This record gives sequence, structure tokens and C-alpha cells, in this order.
Amino acid sequence: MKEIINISTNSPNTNFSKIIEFAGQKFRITHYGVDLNIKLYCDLVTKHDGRADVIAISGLPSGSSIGKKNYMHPILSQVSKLVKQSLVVDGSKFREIYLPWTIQKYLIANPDLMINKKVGFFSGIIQTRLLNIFEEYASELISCDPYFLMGIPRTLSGKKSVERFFFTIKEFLLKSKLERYKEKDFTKNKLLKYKSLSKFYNCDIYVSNCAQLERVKIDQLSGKTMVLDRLDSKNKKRLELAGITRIISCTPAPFYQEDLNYAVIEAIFQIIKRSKLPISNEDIFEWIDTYDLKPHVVDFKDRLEEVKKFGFIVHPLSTRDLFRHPLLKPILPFSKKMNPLIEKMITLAPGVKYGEIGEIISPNGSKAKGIIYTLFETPKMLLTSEPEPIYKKLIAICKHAKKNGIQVMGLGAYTKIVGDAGVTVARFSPVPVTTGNSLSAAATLWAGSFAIERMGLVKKVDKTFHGQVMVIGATGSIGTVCAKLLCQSWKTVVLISPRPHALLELKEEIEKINPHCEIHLSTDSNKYAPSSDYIITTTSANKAKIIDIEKVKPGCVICDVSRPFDITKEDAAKRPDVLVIASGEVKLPGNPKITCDIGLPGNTVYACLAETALLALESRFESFTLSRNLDYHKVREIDSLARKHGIKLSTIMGHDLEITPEEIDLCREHALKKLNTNI
Amino acid sequence: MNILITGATGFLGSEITKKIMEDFDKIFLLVRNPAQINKSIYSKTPKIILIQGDLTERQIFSKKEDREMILKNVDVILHAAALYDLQADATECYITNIIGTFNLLTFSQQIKKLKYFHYLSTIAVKGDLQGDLFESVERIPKVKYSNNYAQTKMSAELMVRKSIFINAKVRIYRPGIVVGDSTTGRINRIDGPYYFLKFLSGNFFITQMIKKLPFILFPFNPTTILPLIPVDMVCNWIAHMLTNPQGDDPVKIYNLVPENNPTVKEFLAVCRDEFKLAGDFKPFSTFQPLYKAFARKLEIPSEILPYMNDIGGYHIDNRLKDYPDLLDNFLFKNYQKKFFKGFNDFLKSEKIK
Repeated sequence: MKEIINISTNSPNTNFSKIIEFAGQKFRITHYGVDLNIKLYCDLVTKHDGRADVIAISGLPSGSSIGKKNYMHPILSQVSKLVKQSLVVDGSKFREIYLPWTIQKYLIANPDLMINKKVGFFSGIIQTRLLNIFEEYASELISCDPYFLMGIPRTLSGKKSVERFFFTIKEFLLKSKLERYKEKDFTKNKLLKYKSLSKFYNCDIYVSNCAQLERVKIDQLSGKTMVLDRLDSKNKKRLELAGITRIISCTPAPFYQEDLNYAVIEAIFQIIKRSKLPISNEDIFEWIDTYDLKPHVVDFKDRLEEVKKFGFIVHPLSTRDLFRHPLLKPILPFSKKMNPLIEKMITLAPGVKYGEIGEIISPNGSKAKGIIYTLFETPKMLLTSEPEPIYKKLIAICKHAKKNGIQVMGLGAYTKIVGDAGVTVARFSPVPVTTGNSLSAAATLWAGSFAIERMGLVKKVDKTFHGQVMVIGATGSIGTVCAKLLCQSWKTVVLISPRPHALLELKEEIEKINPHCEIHLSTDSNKYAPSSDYIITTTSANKAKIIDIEKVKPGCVICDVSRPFDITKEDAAKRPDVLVIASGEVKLPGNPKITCDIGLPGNTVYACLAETALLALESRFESFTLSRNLDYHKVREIDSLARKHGIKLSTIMGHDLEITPEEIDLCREHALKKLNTNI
Repeated sequence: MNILITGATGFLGSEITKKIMEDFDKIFLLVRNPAQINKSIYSKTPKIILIQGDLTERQIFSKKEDREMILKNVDVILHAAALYDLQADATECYITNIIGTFNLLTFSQQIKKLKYFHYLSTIAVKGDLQGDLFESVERIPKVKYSNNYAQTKMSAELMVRKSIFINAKVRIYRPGIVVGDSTTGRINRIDGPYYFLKFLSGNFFITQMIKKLPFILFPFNPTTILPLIPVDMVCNWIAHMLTNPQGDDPVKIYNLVPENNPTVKEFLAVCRDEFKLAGDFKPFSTFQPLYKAFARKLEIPSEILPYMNDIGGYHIDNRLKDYPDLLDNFLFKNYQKKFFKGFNDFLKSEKIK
């Protein structure tokens, strides 16, 4: 058995002595805390010199590498010089290589973690290597050095200012005496007192090391993530009490159940090395692979299960909706005359809270609640006015929502069409923003396939429709997604687009997804209209006729995803034997109460609202869908998430009204009649 | 039943060892240097086995066989080894009291047969606690200590309290201020209240002057209790408790203080009569630093001054409940003559030496 003596500046109450088995060897680790008594520290080091295999010294101020130089507190070299016979390690070597490497690897593997996140360092000077890494990934980096080290309520933003700060106070730091730090107050009330420090409080992710964390007083960390170099049981308890949601601890996985510091871990590896030479970078790289050293995540599940909150922004779909507001009700009789005036005047009003969505309960137990905000702009005003004022209003709503604990925000109806479709809003909003288009697309396809099954005119064998589906505008962003999804369940797919080269590209991609699918390409929709059972139109052809409704096959289902519609109301009325669907709307699990009218019957909600709710249920607080482009993988992902959380198709919407199953049956009868007469 | 005793050569340890000789089959004494002890009475009895070892080493025992033997045979441990010196520096105190206790605990946690771990703490763990010293295990008083000895003894006591044994129970004894034998007053060294006597009996110029003063300003709190206990009494008690452990609690603490304790005022009044001082002692709490400097000049450890200003008493419920029959006839009035006699005898013997 190998002897490792660990001497630290902790209190003597933390003394322990235990045997640890690692890599087939046994290590007796004895820890002595000396309570910051440096003379005693040195005495103990000399006493054990030659009696232990490795002496691990910890708790002394560690070095810091800023710029190209390494700075070391003189006490460290002073102590290590005392040891003449045994090996002495202080853990800094192992930590400096392993820690940045492992964190970087973790961040690459979990890209969602850092999206739109502010990162706060209690003290960046001591952790410069991590500072470099988080600088790359974080949207904002805040370091609290002036407050942590000197009690000045200021923060530093960015790596450069931390370096500048270090060079200013360098001389003091390196000459500072070793003494017990006073506990720094990082409680919510204290931080919110100062404007600069409140920035630090608003960070989503905190980076700290174990020793630093012991010196700060913390509370109310709910919803926050803490990245730690190592996690000991004492700090874990403290963080748990403070209500932390997630701790990412970089303690190498084999050791995370033992409260070992890096000096001891380095000592263990020093013994494994079987050589008196100090461990090298290559050794550490090798061990990381051999022993699978990686961080581990502590999630507080009960906290994750707590009710999440999402927001959703709607707006009146017509001036009539405006008069639903109790304040405007008295002037309802004069509405016609007042219409244009009110429509314009009311745009001066900022967005307000409109209503709430009660508890959504997913089958897996997670819960979410929603708040609905509204703008007062009608679609006409939204489309005609400049986007900037609308952005401002939306961002103001997001900021208000953040204060109310909203974790993700959805843009409803026309608010997601304004300007660059959410990109600008998401950039300036403190909460992640999604347009909800992914689930909208998926729900429309659900509606389409539901209608087709109800019509029963297309044979279905082994989950595959033996018929022909036509995607008009297939090379557009929504069209591409639809084509890729439909090729998996339809035998024949016809792709229509005015750009033949793009069609060829798409064909290749689809063949990769489903090589058995039969694909036809065309630039003219009317050519294939008479033979198609299912047509999806996703063009942006403004009011130009893209298909002759008279040529369409009887019993065909047309999904009109375009806004404004490709198939006009009049066209749809001409063919009672053809079903025209505009969208599919969904029902949330757990029958939540909706306290306001969002223009849909009963508990049905817009699919884009459901996407926002889904993100909340899944705790994925990220800008899932933005801009006008849709991503095939995201649609597939949200589709599977929706199924997981029990979001179901509730109604199929026609041009203005919902389409009941009976109406579909009626349509089927018309179609059958027409088919019979044609024969 | 076999017992391992650490600190058996010490002040209390040696007395206790003598008293429990009858009650145990084998008595292992952990000593640093067995060669020096060979001549003493211990080695004559076959029951006593001397084992070489140093608690400040992590391995404790220098021989592997010893370690194995103790692991196999010991049922009870009495940990009485400590560095008792109010003026010792932090390093010495830490190494003996904390590391020593820690190493012993780590070792004894491996003894499967172990039934009792007895630990000799001290009443000094009270520190500057403004109130009664409880015997409760849950309470950890947050206090400041005036000397390293008390500080390290408290840390060690906490370690003992917190340590987890396989099935051993922990008994912690906190003897009060130990004074000379209850019948003869005999002492082995100048310590605690005796420092004060030594000063008053000295031939310093200042002493002579003080004796003639109409009154003496002295930094003490007249209501402070002096938890004096004669050495034979405390050893009897501990020996009895060692051999008759009571209760099923995993950890139990006993404050070993007699029911009747003199206050500082009473004690000083007695001293005044004994040394024929002209004036009375007047309590005076300010200017402690001045007195500290003064005390240093007079060879009184300034560390004992805080003991004259304590507030609060000592709970002894555990002892009264578990051992109601223990002889507790200590009354300072009856004892004071022996107290001074023992001191004077000691001074004489010192002079002869």
C-alpha cells in the first residue's frame, strides 16, 4: 500500500484517513488540516518527509498564468523546497491540463448548454484557463474579481479586463499574507443592491472552484448552473440549500464519490507513473483516455421537475378582436367608424399580459405553465409598419417576462413574420425565443395524414401510403422539410419548383433518406395535379395561381402551408370534393385552463405555442426555431418530443374555420360520387 | 476484557492505570519509549504489556506484530495521551492532541472487537462560552480559546464525537481543574491555581509590596466558579466509569466536576488568609492586557487569567444520573488546609532537589 499524506490549510475537523483503490493499487490517503497555520504546515511537511511516498500539499494560493507568464505565490515554492526525500505535488499540474481540456470537451458535446448564456466567475484571475474557454462560448462573460478580492462592488466583463485588473493589483496579490478570507456576501439582496453586481446575479452559469466557493455566501441560485473544478460533500449541501438546479463537477469520474482534492489525485497519478520524474502533459493525456476521466453532472431532479414557465406573444387577428378588450367594449357600437383610427392609435400601446395557461402536465411528469402576452397591432399594421418598433415592443415583453420567471418565449401569429422572423428579437432578448414553426410544420403534416386516413381513398400498407404526394415549392425551406418527411411515408413524391437545379439537389438528398421512394421532378404543378392524392403548397407566390383547382384529382387533400394562402377561399369552394387544410392545431396534455381567448375553440392551442410549451417541458431553454428557414432535423426532433409529451392533433383548420371529421366524411362522399361519374 | 491505554505515563493516566489493574485481563500501555519505564511498577505485573508506539506517526506502532496483537485483542481503549501545557505553541499542541487523536481514531476504527472508546478531554473546552457547559453531544459551542491546548483539545474532542466506529461506544470525560490529593494534598507539579500560590509565596519585591496594599485590584469575576477536583477523586471516578460504562448512547459526555465548587471570590479570600495579605481582592475587569504583561513578569501564565472570568457553570447531570453512588464529598472548606499543605510540601521538595 502506498502512503499519501495530504496537508492542507483547512480546519482540523476535516481530517480523514482512508484507503482508496484505483488502477489495481491501494492508496492510504491521510489528510491533515492545519487551519492556516503556516509554521505548523511546514512542520508537518518536514515531519512526513521520507515517511510518505508522496506528500500532497493543498490549500496554498495556486499559481495563475496570465498572458504568457506564470505567476506563483512565493509560499508554494517555499513549502515544496522543504521536502527532500519524498515526492511532493500540489495538484496544479494535473488541474491545469485536465480541467480546461475536460470542460472544453464537455461544452463541445453539449452545445445547448451555452446558447445565449451569461457566464459569471467569482474570480477570473485564479481561473484564467477556464476564462479563455468560456470567453469563446458564452454570450457574455462577467468576472467579479474586484468584489471578490477587494470588496469593491464592480464587475469586469471579458477576459481582457480581467487581465488588465490583474496587472494592476499583481504586486499586492503576490505579496499578500496567507490569512482566512472573510466570507464574501454573494446573496441575492447584496448583489441586487449594486447595478454592476446585479449583472453578476443575472448570470446563468457560474464558474468557480471549490476553495472559492467556500469563501462566498450564496443563496437563491434556482435555475442556475454551477461549474466546479471539484465537488465535495460540504459544498454540494450548500449549493443544494441555495436551490441550484445543476452542478457540473469536473472531479475525474473515478474519484467523484471521494472528497479528494487535485493534489491527492495528482499524487495518485504520480505513484501510478512509477517514476520520480514529475508528471508530464503527455502522461495526463494518456490517463484521460485510459481511465476515462471526465466531469460528471449532478442534476437536482426535483428542481428540474418544478413547474417551468414559458411565454407566448399573440396579437389581434383583426380589428374586431381589439374590441374584445373590456376597456374598448363600450365603443363597440361605433367600431366601424372608429376602426382605422383605433387600429393606428392602439399601436402606441406597449405589449401587455393577456392571459395564462394553467399547468400542462406531461405523461412523464414534467410540468409547465404559460403566460400569454399580446401586442395591439393588427396583422395589417404588423406587415406595413417598420420592424424596429415592433422588435422593441417584443424585446420589452421578453424583458418583462424574464423578471416573471419565464424561461422561453414563443412568437405567435404574425409576430414571427415581422422583419427577420425572430432573429433580432432573440439576439436582444434575455430569454430564448422560438417562432414555433417546427411544430407548426409537423402539426400540419399530422393534420394532412389524419385527413388522408379519414378520407380512406389511399391504400396504406406497412405505414406507407401507396399514392402520390406533390410538394409545390419543394426547394423552399418548408417545402424541403415536407418533402424529406413525406418521402418516408409515401410511395411516390412529386417535387415542384421553378428552380430545376435545386430540385436535382433535393432529389439526391431524398434518395439518401429513402432510396425506395419514387421521385418525380417538375416545374409545372398542373402536369401532376390530376394524379396526386395529396398536395402540399408552400410557395411564396403572392396571389399568383400556382395550381388549377379544377384539374385536381377528386378526393385529394391539399395542405396549404403558405401565408398568404395559395388556394383562395373561392377556389376551395369550387371543389367540395377536395379537402383544403390550412394547418393543424394541437391539444396540450393535462387539459390546462386557458384564461384568455386566443381565437381557437376549447383547449386547442396553436402548434407554435405548443412548441414553446414543449421546450419548457423538456427544459430546453434555447432558441429552437428562428428565421424563416426550417431545419429537417429540428422538425423531426420536435415531432418526437411532441409525441413523448402527449401533444396531440386536436383540430384541423381550414381557411378560417375548423374542419370537423364529419366535414371530411362529407368531402369523401362528394369525391366518391365524382370518381364514380368519371368512370 | 483487555484495554489499551495511551498516555499511561502521564499525570492522570498513571493514576488511572493503577486503579483499574484488577478489572482487566490484559492492559496494553502504548508508550514511546518502553526502556525507560521498565523500572517502574508496571512491568512487575504480568498483566501489563508495554507496546512501543508513537501516536503522532500515522502508523502508530513501530512493529507490525504489535499492531496485529492490538487489533485482535483490545476491547476497550482509554485515550489519555495529550500535551498538557497552557503555554505550548500551536504546532506542538496540534501534533500531539489533534494528529495523535486522529491517528488513534483511524486505527481504532479498524478494531472489530472494540466496545468502548474512552477519551479524556478537559473542562477547558468551555473556552469563553457565556453560559453553562452542557454535556450534550449535539451542541458544538462556538467559542474562542485563550490557549492552544484548549483549542486543540476541542478539535480532538469533536473528531472523537464525530468518528464512526464499527460497534464501539464513545465516552468522553472532561475533568475539571485537577488539584492535589484529597487526603494529603500531594502534587507533582505547579499548575493551574498553584501558579497563583507560587506567586503569593514568592519573595519578589512586588509580592511583598502587594501584601501590604490596603486592597488589590485583580482581574476576576467574583461569581466565576472554579471547577476544582482532587486528583485521586477524578481518577477514582474515571476508573469506575471505565469499568462500569452505562447507557446505550453511541456518544456520551461527562463533565467531571464536583457538585460543590468554590467561586473565585471564595478562593481568593482563602488565599488572603493563608498568605496574610493586608488588603482584600477587588474585582477589576478592564486593562486585561496590562495584567497579561504583569503576569508574564511574575511567571504566572497569562493563559490562566481567562479562567478567573468565566461565566456560567457546568452541567453534571450525566454523572449524577448514571453514577449516583460515586463518592462526591468535595468541599473546598474542608480541603483548603490540605491544598496549601500539598503546595508547601511540593515547594520544600523542590528546594531539596
